[in-house]
Amino acid sequence: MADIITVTVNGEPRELRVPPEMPLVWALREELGLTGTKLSCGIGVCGACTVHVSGKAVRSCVTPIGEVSGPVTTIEGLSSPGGLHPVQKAWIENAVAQCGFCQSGFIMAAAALVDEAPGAQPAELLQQMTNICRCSTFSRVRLAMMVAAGHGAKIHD
Amino acid sequence: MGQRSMTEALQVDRRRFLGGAGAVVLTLACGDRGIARTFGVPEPVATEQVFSAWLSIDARGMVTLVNAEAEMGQGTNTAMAMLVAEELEIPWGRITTVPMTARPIYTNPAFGMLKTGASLSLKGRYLQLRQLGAAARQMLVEAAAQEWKVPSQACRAVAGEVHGPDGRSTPYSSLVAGAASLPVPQDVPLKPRADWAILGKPQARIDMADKCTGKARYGFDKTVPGMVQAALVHAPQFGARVKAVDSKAALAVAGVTRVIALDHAVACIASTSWSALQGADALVIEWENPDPAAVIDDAKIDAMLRNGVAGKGQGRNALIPAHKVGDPAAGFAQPGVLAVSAEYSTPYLDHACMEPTSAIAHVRPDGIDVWSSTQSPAMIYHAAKLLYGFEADKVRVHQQPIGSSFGRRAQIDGELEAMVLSRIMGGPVRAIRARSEDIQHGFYRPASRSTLRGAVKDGKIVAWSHRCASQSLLDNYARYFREYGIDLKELDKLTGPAGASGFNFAPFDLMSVDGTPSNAIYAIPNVEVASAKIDVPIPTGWFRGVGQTNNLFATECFVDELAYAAGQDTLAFRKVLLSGQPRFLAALDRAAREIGWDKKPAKGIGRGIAITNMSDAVTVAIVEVAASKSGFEIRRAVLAVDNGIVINPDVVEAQTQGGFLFGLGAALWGRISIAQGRVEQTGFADYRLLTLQYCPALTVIQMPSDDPPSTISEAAATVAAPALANAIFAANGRRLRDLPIARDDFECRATVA
Ligand code: FES
Ligand code: FES
Repeated sequence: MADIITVTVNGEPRELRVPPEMPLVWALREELGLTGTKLSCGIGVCGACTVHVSGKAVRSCVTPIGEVSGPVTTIEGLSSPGGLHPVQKAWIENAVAQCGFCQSGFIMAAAALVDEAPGAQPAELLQQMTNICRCSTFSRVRLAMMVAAGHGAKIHD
Repeated sequence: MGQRSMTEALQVDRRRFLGGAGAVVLTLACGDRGIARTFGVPEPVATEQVFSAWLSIDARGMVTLVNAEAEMGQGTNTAMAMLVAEELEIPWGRITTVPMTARPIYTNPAFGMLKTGASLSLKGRYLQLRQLGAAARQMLVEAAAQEWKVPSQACRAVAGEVHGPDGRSTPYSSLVAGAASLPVPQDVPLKPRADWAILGKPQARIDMADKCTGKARYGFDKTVPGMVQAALVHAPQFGARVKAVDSKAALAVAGVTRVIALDHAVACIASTSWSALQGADALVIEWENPDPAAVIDDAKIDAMLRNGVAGKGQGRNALIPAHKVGDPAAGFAQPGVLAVSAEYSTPYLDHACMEPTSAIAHVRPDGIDVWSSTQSPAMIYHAAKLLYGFEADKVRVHQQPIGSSFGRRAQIDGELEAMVLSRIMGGPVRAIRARSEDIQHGFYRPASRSTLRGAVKDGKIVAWSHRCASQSLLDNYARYFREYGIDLKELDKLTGPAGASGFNFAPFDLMSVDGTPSNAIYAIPNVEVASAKIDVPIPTGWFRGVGQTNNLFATECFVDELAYAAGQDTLAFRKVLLSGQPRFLAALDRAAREIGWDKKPAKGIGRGIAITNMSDAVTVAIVEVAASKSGFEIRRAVLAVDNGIVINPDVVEAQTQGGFLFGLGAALWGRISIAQGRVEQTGFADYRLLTLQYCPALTVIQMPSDDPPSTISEAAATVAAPALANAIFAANGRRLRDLPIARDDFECRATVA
């Protein structure tokens, strides 16, 4: 039977009795009830399942729980007691989400980019945002990313 | 789809008392015959059971509206709440929505059934929900007047309170109980548009924060106590059946408890989704495949489509006249006309919804509960009646917010599987499937072929012929019900005119000619449209933009071809065609001005126009590309839209952007290919979808008018492909008549580099 795996999720150590090959996304959703992290393509292409491990964006559908080596942050743990993450604020102010199913993943990916490289140029940031949104909210994703990264609302020109 | 008159008498109907914990609530129900109501005292029941009707007001004055339209990103939570809040006179922010548990009283009057789709949410609810809000407001005012012993004319509703003479006021929450004994008022006048405080202005989506903090829940997130997971594997070849199953390896997966063979699929039952999916992977299934001669592939389908447009089909596959204006033969035969012809084709497309297909069902001896992200709750309870004999009130369909749909979740294949499996398991079952299953067992936008002929004289189109061929959406839609022994005719009887196949009243499928000049906006004196259907066993269904995604591509590109053939500027050429259409002309002019049509673009830059009247709205797109021999880049796009009276301009903008980019992604790369009787694609790696690097700078210009509200995103999805193809031709002279546009020797380059 499965060993006990200990992993810190949103600041709390959690013990899971699951096989180490279980993808992190399923451990979060079905073992810990954290359904804010979504699953869509299941093969690491779309980014809907993006969470942070040690502050870096990872696609949790292709990350076995046994290989998680640092603290995990999910969309539920992104905001601090002080308030929403700047990316979340920019997302809400610019009304990005439509159905919203991809948005946890977008926000986690954008938050990692903005936090990791403050002052990065718009094109660098946008190149790395490879998430898929079938509602195709990309116009506003661009806008919100620029606002969150401190580049104001101008993307084109 | 008869629009039911909402001015019919409002009827009073005492239903059961319902309430939220600790609150007295006023519940109004607006059925298809008018507005009824119930009044309640607390009853500790789960949220899903609290609301049997539309509206409740709690002790803090917070209003909760049942949203009878699926929320799938198109913003119905917000729009429906706005309609009620405006008439109820409550501040924006004091109203929230909950998804319904489906009941016939929630039927959309524009649809004639309880279903979300065809861009009919606003059309159907626009009057209905304002009337509901107005009736509730009037009852609250009356209750205050009686309490104060003043005439109700001396009182008025202001921001969630009733104000009376001498400056007195009282909040709605204290009036709810008093309003209980009053009759429901008839024909309360609605506010004139000039007085609107909430409608017509950009309002923040009421679910935006939840969607950005991970709190929003979708059907895929739903759990119910005691449920098991069932991962389905469907027959890879269309029409194949299960012959034998070796479940040894599957049962060896930890957590897997059972394997159930259905006719068309096998389910692996487990305690967790992951175990179920792993078990499904380990199944060894022998399929009874269809006769090899009947096994289809792209080449066979293409031959059938060519046969269809050539008029060589027989019987039900014959080319059938669908539309005729003037005398097309004489039009083409006029002396001095310039005749042009061209062929266009489009491939099968999958919706590729972000949320994977899933549904939970619990079939009990005394009734059924279903929880799902569905566009078609009524189809579920009607199908359940035919399957198990339960009346609609014994089948509770709990609407869940949908993680994008585009027509896919109008199909109830997943719900049927969940019901059948629940019945076998004797408890709640959640039916799921891997993405590869989802993409290989969709309800595809059918492939099509169009042959066009046009005649131009003196700079005007004098004759037009469009022959199109594709599978019929309507013949194929609902075919899967047969798997369950459900008689489609019986289902049609229950669902009404807009039901399972009830649209199919013409010898040709109306949707298959949508987007040809049969929906005339252009002044062309002689037109003929003919349609042929082909029969292949590929499930097809509604896809955002439906028939127009096929035919509008051909129509709008061919208008462009004729303009060039006539040696004319494509904008000027179209303006002549639109001479009787002031709304279209205005939008076209506005878009042209925005993109700077007057200034000739540099070499290698081209602009293309496309126009549609889909959903009774006006949608004009102009796309600007830079193109060389080896590739292209989409620089800019301008959309000018007139969708009548606008409820929420912010959502209109978002939906226009999203619809257009959805169509653009499909135009660039979308293609489901068929080989050996099955879909070749396996997921998002080989079914390429749009990412932001390829998106153009997008400008949306709203030109609202006084026409009834219509929605826009389906229309915006249809103009992308023709506008792009026309722009590429303008840039490098390459006329692309077959979708998708991007190909190995002609790639789409990122705009963010
Ligand atoms: S679900 Fe993980 S990348 Fe798509
Ligand atoms: S908002 Fe719907 S998929 Fe992105």
